[in-house]
This record gives sequence, C-alpha cells and structure tokens, in this order.
Amino acid sequence: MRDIEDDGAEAEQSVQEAILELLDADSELDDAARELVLSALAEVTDQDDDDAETDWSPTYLTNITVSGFRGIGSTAKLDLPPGPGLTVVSGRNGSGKSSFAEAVELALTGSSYRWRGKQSLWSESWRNLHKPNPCALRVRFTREGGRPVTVGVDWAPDAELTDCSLWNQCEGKDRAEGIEDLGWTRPLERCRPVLSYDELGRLFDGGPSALYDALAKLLGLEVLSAVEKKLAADLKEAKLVKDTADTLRKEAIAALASSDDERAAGLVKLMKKHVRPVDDILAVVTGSSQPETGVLTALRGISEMAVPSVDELESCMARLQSAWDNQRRTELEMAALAAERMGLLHSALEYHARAGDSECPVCGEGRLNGDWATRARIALAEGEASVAEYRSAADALNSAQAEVRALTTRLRQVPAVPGIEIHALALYNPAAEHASAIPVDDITRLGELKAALTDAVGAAELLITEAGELLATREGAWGPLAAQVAAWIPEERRAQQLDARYKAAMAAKNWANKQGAAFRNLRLKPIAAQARQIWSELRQESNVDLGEITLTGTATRRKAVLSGSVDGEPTHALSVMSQGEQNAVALALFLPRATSVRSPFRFVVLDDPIQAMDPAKIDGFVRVLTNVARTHQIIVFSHDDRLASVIRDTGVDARLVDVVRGSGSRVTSRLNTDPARRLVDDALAMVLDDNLPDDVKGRVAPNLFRMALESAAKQAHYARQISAGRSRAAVEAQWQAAKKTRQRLALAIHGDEKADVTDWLKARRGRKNVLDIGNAGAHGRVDNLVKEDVRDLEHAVDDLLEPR
Amino acid sequence: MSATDLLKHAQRVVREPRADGLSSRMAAFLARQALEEIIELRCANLGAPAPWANTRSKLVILRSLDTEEAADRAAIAWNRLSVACHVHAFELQPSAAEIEYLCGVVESLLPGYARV
Repeated sequence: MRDIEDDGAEAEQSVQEAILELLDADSELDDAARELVLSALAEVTDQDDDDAETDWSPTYLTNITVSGFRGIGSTAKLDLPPGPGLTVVSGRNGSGKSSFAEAVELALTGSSYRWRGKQSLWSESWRNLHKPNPCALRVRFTREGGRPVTVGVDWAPDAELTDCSLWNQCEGKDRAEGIEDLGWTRPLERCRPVLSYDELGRLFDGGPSALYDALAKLLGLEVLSAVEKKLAADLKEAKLVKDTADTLRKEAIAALASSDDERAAGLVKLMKKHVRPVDDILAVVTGSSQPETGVLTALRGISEMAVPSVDELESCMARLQSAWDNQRRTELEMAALAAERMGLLHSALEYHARAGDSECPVCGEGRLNGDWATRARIALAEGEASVAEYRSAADALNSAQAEVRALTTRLRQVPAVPGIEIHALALYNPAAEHASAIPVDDITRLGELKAALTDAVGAAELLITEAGELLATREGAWGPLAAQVAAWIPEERRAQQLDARYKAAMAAKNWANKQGAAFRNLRLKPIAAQARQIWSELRQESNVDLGEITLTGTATRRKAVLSGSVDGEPTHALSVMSQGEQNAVALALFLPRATSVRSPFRFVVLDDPIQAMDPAKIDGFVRVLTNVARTHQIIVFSHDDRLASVIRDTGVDARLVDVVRGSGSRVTSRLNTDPARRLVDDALAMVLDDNLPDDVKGRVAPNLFRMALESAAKQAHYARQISAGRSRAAVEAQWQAAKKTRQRLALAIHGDEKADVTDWLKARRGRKNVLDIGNAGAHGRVDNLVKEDVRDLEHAVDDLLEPR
Repeated sequence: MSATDLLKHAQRVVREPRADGLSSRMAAFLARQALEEIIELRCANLGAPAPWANTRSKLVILRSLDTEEAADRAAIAWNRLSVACHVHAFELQPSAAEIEYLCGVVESLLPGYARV
C-alpha cells in the first residue's frame, strides 16, 4: 500500500492559483465572463480567510478522562501514547469503551453522531446511572511546537445534555471558553477525526448528494464552491431583472392580444421581436409616431372634420340672397337701359367723328356738334359708372355663389369605416349629397338649397359627435394598455442594459461549473486512489471491485458516483455491496479524509469499525491501520477480541488496552500488551520450550532481546518527545540517527543519544545483563539462556515504558 | 509428503467442494501441516533447526532471525489455520475463499518462492 502522505510536505496548489491558471489557459471565455470569475474569486478570497485562523500544528491525543458520563461512573482515565502508532482498546459491550470515543467526539464537536436524530433516547440516559455527578469530560492533546492543551466539558448537576460548559486550557495559561480559539473549526468540519460504526453505516444513507457533500468537503475546495455560489447568485440577480421584464412583457402581450385596438397587433409584433426595439415601442405607446391607419384615422378624420357652422351657413346664405337682390335691382333699374343708350351714343360719337358736325341721323332735328359731343362724353362717363355698379353687383353675386359652393363642397361625402357602424353617417351622406346637387345659381331654388344645407350641417354635427364618442371609447380602452406597456419599458431597458452582464454571468457560471467538476475530480483522484487501495486490502473475499469515484452535477443534481464491477461486470458499486462491504468502503473513504494532509489532527478515533466485518477483512483492516499508524495515532475501540488477536499473532506494532467495567460503573483501562511486551512473551515461551535446543535459544535470544528493548525505548522516546511538543519528523529523525541499542536507550531515558546510560544500567540489577544479551547478536550467541534473563528483560521493558 | 505436495492437496480439496461441506476444514488441516513443514524448513535454513520444539517457539525463531514479513505471515497463517482446524463455539466454519487466501499466504512462505 502506498504510504499516506507525510506531514503535508507535498505543497498543493491553492484553489485560487488553480482557478487563475485555468482562466489563463482558457481562450474561449470572453472578457466579461472572465472579469466576473475574477471578481467573484477576489470577493470570495477576501471572505475566506478561515485557513489563516486554522492552527496547523500536528496534534495527538494524550489521554481521555471521563466522569459520570454514559457507561462510566467514577472518574476513569484512558492514557494514550501521543505519537504515531496503533492502539486497540478492547472491551465487552457496555464496558464503557465507547464512552471514551464519545467523549472525544463531544469535546471536539459538541455532539455525537450516535445521538443525531435520537435526541430523546439519549437525552435521558447520557448521565451515568450509578454516579451521575460529577459529570465531566477531559481530553488532553499535545501539539507540536506548543504546550499541551486540555479540552473540558462540564455539566452542573441536573443540567441537560446540551447545557454544558465547554472550555479549553493551554498548559500554563488560563481557561478559555469554547474551543474556537484553538483554530480547529475548519479542520473539524473537513476532516473529523472521530468515526463511529453508526456513521460508517450511515455514510451512504444520505444518498448520492450527501456523499457528494462529504467528499467535496474533504477536498477543501470551499473557495471553489464559494466562487460557484457567487457566480450563481450573480446570474440569479441578472436573471431576476430579465425575468421581471419578461413577465411584464408577457402580461402586456396577453392584454394586447385580447384588445381589438388596431395598434395592438403591431405592438405585439414589436414586443415579440428577439431584440425589442424599445424606442419604437415607446413611440407607439405615447402616440408620437402615429403609424395608425384605418379605423382610428377615419374616426379621427370624421371627428376633426371642418364642417360649416349653422351661423356661417346662415350668413353665407343671407349674403347670397342680398347679392341676388342687389344685382337684380341694378339690372332692372338702370343698367340695361343705360347700356343701350351708351352704345348708341358711342356709335353717334363715332359717326360725328367721321362725318363732322351734321344733322342727327336718328331724329333729323338736332345737330351733332362739339357741344353735343362734350355732353355726350360726360353722359357716357356717368353711364360707365352705372355699368361698374352693375358689374360689381354681378361679381358680388358670383362670389356669394362661390362661397356657398365652397361651403357645399366642405360637406363632402364620408366613407363608411370598416368594422364600425356610425349611425349618423346614414343621415349625413344623403343630406350632403342632396345639398350639393342643388345649383347655387338658381335663384328659384335658393330656399331649397338653404334648407338642404342646414340639414346637411346638422347631420354633420351629429356625425362629428358620434365619431368623437367612438374615438374616445377607443382611446379609453387603449389608455391602460399603453400604461401597461409603458410600465414594462423601464424594466426592459434595465434588462437590456444587463443583458451583456447576464450573458457573461451565464458564461462565467457554466465555465466555473465545468471547470469545477473537472477540478474536483482531479483533486479527488488521489483520495479515490487511496480509497481503492484501502478497499483492495479490505475486500478480501468480496467480488466487488471498486472503480472510479467521481463527483458529478451541481446544485440539487450533485452526486457522488462510485463505479465498480462484480466479477468484471461493471455496475454501481454500492448497490451490490453488503452492509459489511459498505462499511468497509465507508472506512476506505473515511481514512483518507481523516488522515488528510490538510488536517492538524494526527489522531483518528474509530469506534467499533469492524462490527460487520468477517475475519479475512480484519486482516486487511489491520494492514491498513498499521500503514496509517506509521504517521498517525490510531485509536480503535473494539468490542470483541478479533482485532486484538490478529495483532497478538503478528508483529504488528500496536498497543492493546483492555477496558473493564466493574460494579457501580467503575471502569478501568489496563494496558494489555504492546509490541515490546509481546516480544517478552515470545522470549518466555521460547525459553520454556524444553524441546528447543539450547544453542537455538542462544541464537534467537539476542535479536529478540534487542527488539524488545528498542521497541520499549522507541515508545518511550516518542511519547516523551511528542508530549514536549516536538515534531514527529524530528522525533523520527532522532530515532533513525541513533543506530545502536545503547544510543536508543539513551534517547528514551535522557532524550539524547549521546547521554551516558551507565547509571540507568546500574540502577537495577539485570538491566546490564539484558543489554548484553541484546548486543550479543553481533558477537554470536548467548549460552544458557534461562528464565531469569527473560524476567530481567520484562523489568527493563516495564521500566522503560513506565518510568518510576 | 513434502510441503509443496501438502499445499497442492489443500488447494485441490478446497476447490472441490464436498457435499458435507467439510472441504474447507480438511484443506485447512492440510495447509497447516504444509505450513509447519515450511516453518521447520525456514528455521533450518536460518541455522536454527528445532525439529522437536513447538510451533510457537519456531515462530519466535522466525520473529528473531527471519524477515519481519515472513514472521508476520507465518504467525498469522498458522493462527488462522489453527482456528480453522477446530470447532469453536461462536466461530463459523472458515469459508473456502478464506482458506484459499491462507493457502496463498503459506505458498508465499515456501523457500525460493518468488512473488509475482
């Protein structure tokens, strides 16, 4: 199995950098959309400085102390060696081991997975029945490069479960309320280090979207999610404007469609255009463009028709009448005679001009001479004045007639308006026609003309009124429609202004979703690979092969897809798995999460993870755990001995702790065995085997003794140094640098490989003997290994592990 | 019978299920005998022959002188097969697949076995 990454040394590219890089690489995204992604990123990055608050110092568990809580009555303490390594805490059901796990969970998260959704059940039985008070939890942590810290939870007598006081205290400092100032908020959310059997079982119950969330959270791509969210919000905002405009538009179109106003159809056409010509629409609504034809024009034409008034008609007719009279008078009275006389005089004058003075050729009595001619010219001039008078009277008549004619033509025929019945039209048109048919120069029909014209004018007035009313009705219906369209216009203008932004937001969001999916899966890949690796160790007999794990979809359609195959047949992995197999997969997914390099927690607490596993899986599980335990402190609570027995059978570097619950909920934890003590047991079994030749015992002993001493020294060294806040890497380097057993003992005892251990060796009889046997490996063999030698080894190991 | 032959028998038996369902237990029995031969062989190769010692002691010899992996494998396979060879009150009979897996572990301990 691949090693779990070490100490976060592998510097992951930050999400911001990755997004910027992807933006740079993408030439298809337009500038506006690019700008939106950048601004969303900037905004999000400003808000998202949670990582800065996170304390990344690697943290291990030192001990868990529980009083009056759940299965534990009197104060019980579980000591854990801070530092990488596997500790298996075994205890029967109800021994109180889970209470320790829950204590850690409660202290870190303020709740327990087992309690979720079962509040009522737990709220009654969370206190210990035998010894409910004091009720308190203490969890102690060591942090690299810092002082140890204790997290405590206290309940006052009779307090409810949720009514507790949570505090933390850094060694040498005052207590602080809550645990927020420890800087663990984000990692706790992302890489919760406590997992119970219940949670394993339920990881898949929430469905693919819950699994998506669980996996996405672990990827630490909150920045990406936030950018996606921001872009979605941008889009929503732009879309809201667009939608509002669209809704208003549709309502207006619907209203227009049910209107029989002739402007409606044209307006609907304009409003249905892909790009709405707002200015044109506005012109129609305000009437400034008046593209109207037909009914409205006709009605407006009629209503605005210039028809002579009755007064006008009367005066006009009166003038005609008087002109007639006047002309007739002048004609009758004088003009005709005068004209005749003047003609005669003209002729006489012409005659006189040619013939000279002579007898009058007409009467023969008078003489046509100079005097006569003078008189005749004067008379002629006077006669012409009369003629002028007559002509003017005739002109006056002509003009009066023309006036009446003009008046008549003003009463022109009005065509019918299609689709609209105008009652007055039936009255007016014949009247007007009748009036115009009567000649104005027929004096005898003057009275008839006047009556006809009066009728026509009356009818015209009726017509104008009626047309005006019809027009007003039309306009009255149009008004609200126009107002509705007018109200839509500013929204539409806003939407059009935002249209570019909307398109950019859409492009930006699509881009982010697409890139986000790819990016997530890229980040998921190593975790998925790790999960597959773990699954391959765990599956053993299962014929289900786990394939790709991918995150697909967004928003409500997001889901995690676990593909797989059964005997080579591709399928969805989860549906074909048994509960035990599902738990194993959940574990395979959880372990990479809990041991992520993005977590300060170097411990993982597993509460009864193997309940549904069969023996073969437990082998694989132990292999997985020992692998993880190289870099992490793994604490497994187990209710049966199966896990412990696998560890006892093998050289697995693990400590076994038994939890026993006595009467009155008195819980005690006891170190059952650890690697060093197991080697002591091995040595004892060997020395007691009489059938084993002594020379073989002598050959085997040195290695066994040395391994036991070094194993104990290593545990002591790690516990001592990590408790003091040193980094695991430094502690490991120190250990590796010390090659000899004596140097390693010096590290364990004095923290310095060069220190002198002679005093320690002399302090108790047998210690030197043990070291000598261990060192004999280099020189050959030990003769006569006896039981007492193994006793010495046991004491030395005990002293190293628990110095007095 | 050599360790290789014993193991071959074990693997054959486990692949030919019997009506009475005893095949996996029989296979476990054969495989454990093969394993004990192999452990003895490895002890001898390490210069610590102990033909009369009990297997626990021999496993200690491997723990001390052999590779860590071999010691682990031998110990886990022997303990598992021993469990499979007896009837236990609360333990189910080992499944064929598990015995096959353990046979594989035993096979990997044969001297000169090269893991592919």
